[in-house]
Amino acid sequence: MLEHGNLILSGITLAFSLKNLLFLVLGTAIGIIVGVLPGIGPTAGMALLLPLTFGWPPATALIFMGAIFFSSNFGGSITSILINAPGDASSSATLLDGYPMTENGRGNEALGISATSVIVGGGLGVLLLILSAPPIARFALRFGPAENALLGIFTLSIVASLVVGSPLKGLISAGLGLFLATVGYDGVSGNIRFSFGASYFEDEIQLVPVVVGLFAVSQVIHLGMMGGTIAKVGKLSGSLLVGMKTYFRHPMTVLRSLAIGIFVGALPVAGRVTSSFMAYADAARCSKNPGSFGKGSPEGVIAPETANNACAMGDCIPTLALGIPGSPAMAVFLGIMILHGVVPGPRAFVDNGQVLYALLTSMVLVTVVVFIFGISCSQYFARISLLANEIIVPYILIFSLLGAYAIRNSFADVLLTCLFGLLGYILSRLGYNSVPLILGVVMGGMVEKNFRRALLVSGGSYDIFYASGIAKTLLVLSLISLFYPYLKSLKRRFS
Amino acid sequence: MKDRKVLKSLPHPGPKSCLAPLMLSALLAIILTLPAHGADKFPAHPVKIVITHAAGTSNDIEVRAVQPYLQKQLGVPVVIENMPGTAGRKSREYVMKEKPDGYTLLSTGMPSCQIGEILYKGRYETLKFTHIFSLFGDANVLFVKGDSPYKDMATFLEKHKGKTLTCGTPGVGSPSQLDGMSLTRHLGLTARWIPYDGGTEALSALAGGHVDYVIGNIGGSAAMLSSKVVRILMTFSDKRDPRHPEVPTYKDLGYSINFNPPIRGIVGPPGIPTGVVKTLETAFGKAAKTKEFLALTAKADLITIPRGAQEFLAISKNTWEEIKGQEAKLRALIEPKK
Repeated sequence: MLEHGNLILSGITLAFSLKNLLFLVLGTAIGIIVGVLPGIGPTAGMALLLPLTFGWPPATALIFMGAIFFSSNFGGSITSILINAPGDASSSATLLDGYPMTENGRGNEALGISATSVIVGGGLGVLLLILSAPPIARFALRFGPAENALLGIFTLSIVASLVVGSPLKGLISAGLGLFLATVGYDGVSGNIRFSFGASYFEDEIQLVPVVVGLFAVSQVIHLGMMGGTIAKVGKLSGSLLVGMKTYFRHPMTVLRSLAIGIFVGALPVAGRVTSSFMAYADAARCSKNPGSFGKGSPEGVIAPETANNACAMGDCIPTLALGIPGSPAMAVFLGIMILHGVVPGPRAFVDNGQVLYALLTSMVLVTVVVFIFGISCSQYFARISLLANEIIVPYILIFSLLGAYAIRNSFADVLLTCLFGLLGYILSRLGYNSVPLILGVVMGGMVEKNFRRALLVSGGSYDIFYASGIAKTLLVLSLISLFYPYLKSLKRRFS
Repeated sequence: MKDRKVLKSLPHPGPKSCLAPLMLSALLAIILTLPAHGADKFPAHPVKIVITHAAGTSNDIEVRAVQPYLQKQLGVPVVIENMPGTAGRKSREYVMKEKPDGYTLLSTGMPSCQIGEILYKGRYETLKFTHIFSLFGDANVLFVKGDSPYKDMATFLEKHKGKTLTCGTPGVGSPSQLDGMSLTRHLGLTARWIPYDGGTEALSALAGGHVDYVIGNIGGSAAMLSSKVVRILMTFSDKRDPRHPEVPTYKDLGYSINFNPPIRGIVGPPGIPTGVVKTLETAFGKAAKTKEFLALTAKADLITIPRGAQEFLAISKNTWEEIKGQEAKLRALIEPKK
């Protein structure tokens, strides 16, 4: 016990060495930039910088990479909130209420909420990781193909409650996303579908052109046509401090989102997109004034942001406890750990305790650095919403298309991004929301593949979808969530 | 405002103004052809290695691991470009059509290159690529859950006989699945194949007990093996893995089947001059022997098997013929059932 205490202490000391602190700050800065740039996420960011770290001591290398991984969340939130263009799919739940807050001149406050959720979601996430990683990881493993398919269906069922006003339009938009998810290589049968002979479509439709097109590019068209400034009121109100205060005024939303984030993060198949949308829907359902959601409700930012940051820590749980990566980014991180001779697993904290405790300590420090960064820079960022649209539009467009190109060095991806930009603009003019479409694309592959895998495992019997307790629970939850908006309106009619 | 002034100061377009762009493009053409004159010494400018998969995949991490030592040997920067898509076919089609000057290379996995060409009609010919060097190899192994009752292949076979077990694979028609199909055919077993998106996903499913066993690459499983959530019963390679000496090979078990080991290597467009190939081959060979690189691979538990151009091409050819021979059978596997 005493020995373990010594390990923890030496790990903390290691984290506070000048060199490690320096690389922590550097990694955080790179992470935020990587998050802000559309298309380039933490996965690519970490892999690209990998050769740089070969000669470094393991602790420094892992702290640097960990900082990139964790801080990219906040970078994505900045662009979601301020210009309605998430860097990648995982911060798209944030824009549902984050961007309307900016339109109302409360961008500063929304950024404050986001920065606070980094420190709360990340900090408590690390604590949970240290205290209870093995049992959570073991429970997460009980999700098999059937449970994963049902989890995807449950997430999709949230769609109905996501779109305020018209659940039907939400479902149509999600359906379009589901269809797009079927284009290209089918990983279960090995066939290629809907490619029409074009080699570009032999792949699955990539998420980056869809997300960057539907949000950033269509936003460019929208802002360009509109003129004026993003903040319609023409001035900024609220501040980061107000954001912080707002955050702590909703402790129950925070706690529930935290739990959702940690647990969904621990599941190897589901990650930040699932957790942030689940938390958002949960918050909308439990809120005292659900009518304000989608129109700039702070709770609609608190929930997805807290879940998103907790989810990053949840991703680490199976990775560190069992060596099973909790997300694609974690798979890269795991590869980096092994390259530096730190092999995760139950013995890891005995063999490499000092390095791992230094890493965990540093993750808490990263949340602090991100928070300080947020406090000192957000007010300047928020002024973007006061700039004339004709000034910011070209920049958004250039960065969006660069990001779309950079991810696979493919010009066809840029064309697709532009097409989705047009589609996104048309959809929004017709009153359809693009968010369910993204959810459809993300969840479509997961649901379909796992559904068919489950049938392969069971030999064609559908019993597998209600065999386990987890499966039954998810089925009931999906049904409730799907019919909830209708039940609510019925109740209103009869009371 | 400034822009407008500049515009005004430009001459009005007329017949004379055509001259400037013309001269400019002539100059450009001369500059572009210059490297061809100075090409007696290779390499004169950066060498690009295209990776079939995304940043962070095994293929990518391996090339990035050797890159610093390779550029020291070549004396020019080595640029890595990820071109993921269509299971590697896209990048192979791209490199196949590039100029064979040794400045554009491709790092590809080997049975998957042949499978992509033969089964998925990739628009390239594996054996026409200029084979340069293969540094990393992998091995397919049979994984079971850490706490499963299968102690070794004998108990596995005993429990498997007469029962259909589920076997997770990294993908439908993947080299691992093909090895698995040869094995089950040889042993007279029936398996239900469950394709996952990559080996990690398949092993996660195994760790949760959702499939009975997994056939996949040993590369990338180090952490799960050390966590004891999965174990290995046998390897499809003909040599024992020095990291897991207790695991028997199929030869040790007396199975008379032929498996081609998965390897990854560097190829270039068809027709790279012999001298250039030699330079690249030597540089790779030397980089693979530097002390720093060996220290890195030892720390990272990576196994390197350096193979020169000749040996690399021979293995590639062998694999190609074997897959071509089984084409009809393999095609039946991925074709939709009517």
